[in-house]
Amino acid sequence: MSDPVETPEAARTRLETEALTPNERVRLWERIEASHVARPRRRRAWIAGLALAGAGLAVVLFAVRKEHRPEAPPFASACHVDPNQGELRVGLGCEAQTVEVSGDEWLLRPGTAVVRLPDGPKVEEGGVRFRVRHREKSPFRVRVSHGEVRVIGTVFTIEQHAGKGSVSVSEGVIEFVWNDGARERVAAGQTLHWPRPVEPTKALPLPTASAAGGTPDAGARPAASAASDMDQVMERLLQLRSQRRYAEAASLLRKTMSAGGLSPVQQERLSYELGLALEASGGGACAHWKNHAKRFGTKRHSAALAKRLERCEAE
Amino acid sequence: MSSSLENEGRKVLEAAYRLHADYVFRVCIKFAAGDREWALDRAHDVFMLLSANLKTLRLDETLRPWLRQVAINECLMDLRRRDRRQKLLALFGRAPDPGPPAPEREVAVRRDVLALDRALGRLPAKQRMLLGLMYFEGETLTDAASAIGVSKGQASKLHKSALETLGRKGWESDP
Repeated sequence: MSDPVETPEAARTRLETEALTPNERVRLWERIEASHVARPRRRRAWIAGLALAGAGLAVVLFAVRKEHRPEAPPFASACHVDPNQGELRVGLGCEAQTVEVSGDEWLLRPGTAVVRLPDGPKVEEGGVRFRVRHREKSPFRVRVSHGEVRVIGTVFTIEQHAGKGSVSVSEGVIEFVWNDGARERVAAGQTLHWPRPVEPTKALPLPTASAAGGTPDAGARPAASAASDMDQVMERLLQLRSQRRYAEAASLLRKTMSAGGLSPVQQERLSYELGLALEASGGGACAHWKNHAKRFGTKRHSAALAKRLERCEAE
Repeated sequence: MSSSLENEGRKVLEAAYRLHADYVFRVCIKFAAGDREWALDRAHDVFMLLSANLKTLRLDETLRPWLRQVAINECLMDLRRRDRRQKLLALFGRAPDPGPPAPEREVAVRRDVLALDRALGRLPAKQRMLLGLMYFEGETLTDAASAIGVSKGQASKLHKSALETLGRKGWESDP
């Protein structure tokens, strides 16, 4: 052989820079994943017998002369994510992708699909870390299978897989609005999971026409209106809290509570929020916490309430 | 329960893939004589073995050496299978499998200079693996011999023979 050949050093340097292309990376992972699900076959044991099989097998060998390679599955997705698209997808096997959308930063992990709806994104599948810039007016919303995350400005991660998921807050506070309208506050360091754990249902007495205000419609309307009012109050509360305007938040809560028409659960929730607002505004909250415990008990937020009441006793 | 274990296994495999896919591919491409699809096939085989051994392996810094050795074994075994097939075909008077067409296989890295990994593609399996390990991975003759499961004496003969085939006797003391 007389062709000039590359030197070993040059070849080594060149080969050390080899890497999978993004498409190869996706394609290879999809093959591995498919084989992983199907479980790998045991090593072929026919090789040793093949040499002894003789001329009869040679015919078969000619037929399978061409080496068989499993067909590569189609490309499911590329690794580049265009934030201008209505749907953002990062294929498995890709690196996590960061996109900037309207000043917010979304870190999409491999295997993630996010659909952009008019009122905010919806995480269909996968994991996304959102770093949301501060908003003065309407909150940033992220839809998931069981509700909606509302934030004014914070950092949080959503995981959504096969109808289940969680939101973990790294900085600030978010509010999770369940599909049935219930709300939960999730602070930094906390994680909320969905769906809710299934609890044994209690038999509730059926509402009677007189209790509902004469006709079913007449009862439904004020309830819907109250829910909508509560929505506005909670949104405003979230804004005030994010702007550290705790005195105003306390005032809003007092006003809402005194207006009446609230269910016991809503009253308890607002009372608890009022206690937090009073604490944060620097005003004494002990009287409020004692009153809260007397009125609503300490079943909900038991650990946090017990700690506060203990502190109050010490004072 | 089993499906959650399955899911857990998939996650671990995916994490290992994310960390080591390029590395495994890089090991395989060194013995591929420029055939990227072949290297991808071998990388696939390596991760399949990883998938089958997830329960017994420690996914720490010891994983990479394990992956490397498995990649070398997989490459060697496939090259030997190919050699055997070609010998069988020759026995029955059929021309050996020429592999991919010349332009793809014998790409010059510069004008008139043949890429060394492509040049090694002309060698039998063990010679190709031995020289690949020595030249591209920086292994000594002893370590390369151990990696492909031959004695030092046998490796020395393979090395000499490979260099004669390549017409590169001057490289004998290079790596």
